[in-house]
Amino acid sequence: MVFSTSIFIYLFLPITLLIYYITPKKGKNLIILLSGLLFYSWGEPIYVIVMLISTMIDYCAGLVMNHFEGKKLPRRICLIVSVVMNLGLLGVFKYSGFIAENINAIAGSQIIDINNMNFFGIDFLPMNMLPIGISFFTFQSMSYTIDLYMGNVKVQKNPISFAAFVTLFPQIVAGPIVRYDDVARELDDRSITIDLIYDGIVRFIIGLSKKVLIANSIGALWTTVKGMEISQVSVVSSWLGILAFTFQIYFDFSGYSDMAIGLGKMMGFHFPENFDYPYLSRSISEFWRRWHITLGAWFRSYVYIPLGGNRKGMPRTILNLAITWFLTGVWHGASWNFILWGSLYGVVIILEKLFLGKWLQKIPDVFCHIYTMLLVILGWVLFDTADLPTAGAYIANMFGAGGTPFIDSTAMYQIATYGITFIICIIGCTNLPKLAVEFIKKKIPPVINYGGIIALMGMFVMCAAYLVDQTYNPFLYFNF
Amino acid sequence: MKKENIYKILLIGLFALISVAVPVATIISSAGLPENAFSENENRYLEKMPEFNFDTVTDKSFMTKFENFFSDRIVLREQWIGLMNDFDRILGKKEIKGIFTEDGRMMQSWRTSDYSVDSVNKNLAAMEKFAEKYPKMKMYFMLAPNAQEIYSDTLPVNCGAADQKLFIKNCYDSLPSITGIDVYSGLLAAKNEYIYYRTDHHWTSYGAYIGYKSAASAMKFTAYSEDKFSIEHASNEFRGTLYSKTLDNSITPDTIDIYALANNEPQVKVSVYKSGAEPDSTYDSLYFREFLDVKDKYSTFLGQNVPRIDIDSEIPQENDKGSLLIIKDSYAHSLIPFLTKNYSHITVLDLRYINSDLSSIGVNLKDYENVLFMYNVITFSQDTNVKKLDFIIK
Repeated sequence: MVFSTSIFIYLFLPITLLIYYITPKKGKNLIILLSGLLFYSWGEPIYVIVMLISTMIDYCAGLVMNHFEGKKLPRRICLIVSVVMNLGLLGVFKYSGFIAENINAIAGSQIIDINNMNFFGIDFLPMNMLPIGISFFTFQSMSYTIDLYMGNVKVQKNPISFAAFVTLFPQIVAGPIVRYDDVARELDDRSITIDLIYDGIVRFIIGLSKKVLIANSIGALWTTVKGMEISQVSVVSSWLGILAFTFQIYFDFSGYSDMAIGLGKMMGFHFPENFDYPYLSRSISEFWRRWHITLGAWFRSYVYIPLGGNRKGMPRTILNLAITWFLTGVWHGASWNFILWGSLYGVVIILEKLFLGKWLQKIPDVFCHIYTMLLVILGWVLFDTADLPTAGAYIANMFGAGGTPFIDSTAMYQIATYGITFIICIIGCTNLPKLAVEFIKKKIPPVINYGGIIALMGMFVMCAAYLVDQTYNPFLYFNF
Repeated sequence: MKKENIYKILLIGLFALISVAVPVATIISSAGLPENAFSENENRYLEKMPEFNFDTVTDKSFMTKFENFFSDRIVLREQWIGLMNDFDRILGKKEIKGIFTEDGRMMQSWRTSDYSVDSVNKNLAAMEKFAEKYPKMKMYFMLAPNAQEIYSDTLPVNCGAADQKLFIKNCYDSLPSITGIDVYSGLLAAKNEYIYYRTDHHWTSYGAYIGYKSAASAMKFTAYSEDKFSIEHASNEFRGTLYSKTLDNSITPDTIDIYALANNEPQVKVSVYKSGAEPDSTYDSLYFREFLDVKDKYSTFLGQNVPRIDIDSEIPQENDKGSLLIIKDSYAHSLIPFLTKNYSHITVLDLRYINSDLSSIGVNLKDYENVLFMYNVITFSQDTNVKKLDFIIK
């Protein structure tokens, strides 16, 4: 199920919250588990089993690890079982098709028939299966066993509480990547207050509006441009198209994170923040500290630092960064585009560590912003085109190498049609709206009190209107 | 209680109210709907409650259909969609679901990307081949421009609307054996008249009358002049197909005009063939007035699209140009009433609904002296059925 649908907002959410609130404290985790299973099964009625297997193994690994407290070897075996199992699920369900395709390409023949595979009598279609959110829930669940091994968290003996952590529906399909450590205390004891519910609703409505009112609107432009023959796209249109995607993916993904955080609050949880105005960054390193923060933090804690981080000298630091960023690219999807996309970010971040970062500190801010956004925008071309040749042709066209006119009537029409939406997007991805609200709050509090309620309810009603007629309601971070 | 808490509780209350009131109202309001409820405005059946079993759940069809089931029946559905379209307009969107609303009139957008030249050429080739095969029949082609062409000066700047005048010329030029009828200049000259519906993609009866006059000069018959007709405003509340998409209530509803000769309007017999070679029903009027009371008022003109309609009209011998076979889209429906004044026997074929040899619906080409192809540009450019001429006529 997706948050931005009528059935979620008008059926699933009110019914779930109602039951959740009236259930006594002891039973609340069971409600989380049941509602999470329904929520997930709605989109993945079969692969929900994959999630349950992952949950069960990590729960048992935790118990066994706890049983052998102080003994290194059995604890390590438990960790290895958990990690291999989670990565194995990812490998089979997310990467097997891609690996098979590339083996075929290298071999030059169809040694693996990817459309007709069979394991133990079960049909296996590696290109057609990608359980929703598998990249998120495997990472979340793994964080528990790794942290337990390292002694950062205490064991969770209650299977319902542990399963509730994995199936907690607000974050199950698209993050933020909530680590066990983040919610360990709240899983066993949390209080739900008026303040928290209020904050949660505000956050949810803001996130829903970002997704439904902004991301979907501007996304339509990218869909149009992407659908055109590249030879018919003027230079200006190709910039407008990828700028539209730049905004779409930010408002889509950060909107989804806002909704998740808001829903978490309504249920008494504090999830970690996932975005911090990433498009205001002055360097790529900074961008990745502000974009999909929980993913970066996950890789930092469980890959980069265990590899030695920056404590083993510059050459080793560079290697560690390279590995981390290669894996970040791979995490985003089974395609060369994503691998190249992640790896190039790795290269830039290494360069920034070596010398670029110092240069950037000397030049005026405006150039730092241009440098960062240019790389980010070009990165999005790689991210959202079908394959590397398409991406290459698109980027070439952006710089006039495609032989298309600089501007044509289509581009002018797009500017006229999407101009207002672009302005809203530009303002919306800065901290200006937040500053404005704070300013008004300080000067004239009653306005923000009641004006705010009217504005929020207006936004909620508008979103509801868009959800009734869902001709265009994609969900970008679904396939990760 | 702290003052701050009052408005927090107010917001929570409003959020809860909307989240609960909408589903409850939906359940109450849809409880009365029949299982196979029909949306007149959207011209489709609403999604039924899907069956719940192992198969429908595992292939996810239950979930998809249930989501549609719910949003099809959601309370105030049309108001929600209208609100969304209003907001899109505020955001600067020039077209909503492929429709421009300019100068009080809705118009379809039509760009070169909206059709395939290949497919158009296949249709034209089939028509030409057909005409060459039957040299004794006189063949005509009337390709009517759409409102957005005639009113192209009102469209947003740079909206990229394709040139229909050029499209029509290219079509006519590639059909040496078929006479093209110039209806374009007549419509353009009458652009200040009520020739297209404001809320529907068809032309009005007056637009069709201009089509009739244009046909007369090409097909060499004498058209009745305007003053010979009495005009009845049969309905002033027509909201057509374009309205169904935008739900924009700011546009004045349309008028359905019924034209009849003031003196001696001919007696007619209309036979409707829904399938097979025998008529399913017959009428004694060109106007199916039962449609005046429903949403789809354009169907007042000879009803909805069916494979075949036959019209016999009792007209004075000296006016009779004989028999006419019309191969058409729905634009022809408002034109045909005029043609019945000059052709005593007309057979109307809609190739979209014909998939086997013409004899299967009881049509013998030898019975006809004239053939008229009648389409509007948008439908013709996207049609994939004209090329069936190759195999349904042997």
